[in-house]
Amino acid sequence: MRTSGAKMWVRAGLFGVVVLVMAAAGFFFLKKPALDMNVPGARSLAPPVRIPPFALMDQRGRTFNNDSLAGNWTLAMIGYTYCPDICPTTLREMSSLYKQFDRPPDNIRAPRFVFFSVDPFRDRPEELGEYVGYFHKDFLGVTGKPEEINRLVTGLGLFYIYQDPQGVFIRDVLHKPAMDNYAVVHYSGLLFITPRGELAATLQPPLATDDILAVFRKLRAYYGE
Amino acid sequence: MKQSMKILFLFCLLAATRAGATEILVTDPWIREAPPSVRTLAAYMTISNTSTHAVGLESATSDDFEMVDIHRTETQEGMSHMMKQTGLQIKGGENVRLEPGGYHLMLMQPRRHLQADDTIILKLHFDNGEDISVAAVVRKQ
Repeated sequence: MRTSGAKMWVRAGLFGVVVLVMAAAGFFFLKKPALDMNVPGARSLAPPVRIPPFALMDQRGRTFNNDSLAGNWTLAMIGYTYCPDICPTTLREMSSLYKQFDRPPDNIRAPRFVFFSVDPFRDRPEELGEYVGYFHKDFLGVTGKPEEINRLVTGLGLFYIYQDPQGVFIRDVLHKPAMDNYAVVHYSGLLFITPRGELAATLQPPLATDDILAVFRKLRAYYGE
Repeated sequence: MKQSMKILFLFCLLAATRAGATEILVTDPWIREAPPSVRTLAAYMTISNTSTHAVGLESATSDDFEMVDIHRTETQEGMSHMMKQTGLQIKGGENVRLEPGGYHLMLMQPRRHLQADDTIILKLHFDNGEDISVAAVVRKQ
C-alpha cells in the first residue's frame, strides 16, 4: 500500500516536471521578443494595457468610446485648454508631426490624434474643438462626464488632480472646484494606442517629432497595422 | 508690416538700452499664439543679471491681461505640475531662461485676442527697484 502510494507521488511529480518543462519551452519559443524602444523617455508596456470601457464624446458631439479606437492606431494625450505651457508645447509638436503625415513619408497611414480633456467643467466641446482644431484640422478633442473621464484615466493607470491658485490639491475631480482659476496637475506623456484599443507605449516630454515617429514605427512593426 | 517691424525694433532698443543702463537685461521675449478661446497664455524670455549680486523678479503685469503670475512647470514621473513662484532669483552674472516646459509667465484672462506678430508690453518688477518694460512678440511656435 505504502509502496504504490509512493509510486503514485513519484509519477505525479514527474508529470508535474514534464508540464513545467513544456510550459517553459512554450513560453520561450512562442513569446515575442521584448520590444526594445531605444528612444529616450519611451516605455513600452508588455503586455499592453487593455483600455477599460468608456463613453465620451468628441468636439462635434459624436460618441467617442472603445469602438472609436478600433481599426487604426491612436496617439493621445490628456490635458486641458487652460494649460498655458505643457499642453500647447506638446500640441505644437504634434502639429509639426501631422504636417509630415499630410504628405506621408513612407506610406504610413496617419494615426488619429486625440486630446482627452481632464477639465470637463471648463472645456466644453465647442471650445475644445476650437482649441484642438487650431493645431490641426483632424485632431479630436474628447470630453464628457467627469466620472467617465476619471474611469478612463485611472483605468489606464494614469492620474490627474486639481490644484487651487495657492498650490493646494483638490482631490475631488468629480465636481467643479469652488474657484475659477484652478490648475490641473496631470500626466503629460504621449500615449500610443493599438488598433485593438490597448495602451502599448508612452513617451515623456520634451517631445521631438523624430522620437515620436521612431516609437510609432517600432510599435507598428511589432504589433502590425 | 514694415512699420510694425520698425516699432518693434524701437521697442527692443528701448528695452535693451533701459536695461543696459542698469543691471537686468531681458532678451527674446515672446508669447505663444493660442486659439481665440484660450484664457491662459505663456510668455518666455531670457533674463540676464549683469550685476555681481542676486536680483529677484518679484512680479509682472500687462495692460493686456487681467493677471500675470510667475510659474514653473515641473515634470516628475510623468506628472506635470505648474507651480506658482513667489519670485524668481537670478544670481549675479547669470541668466535664467523662461522656456516651454520650465519657467514662464502665466498670462491670464486676455483683454483682447492676440495673433502672431502682435506685440505685447510686459512690465517686469525686480526687487532691486528696477521696473523693465519689454515688448514680447506673439509667435506661432
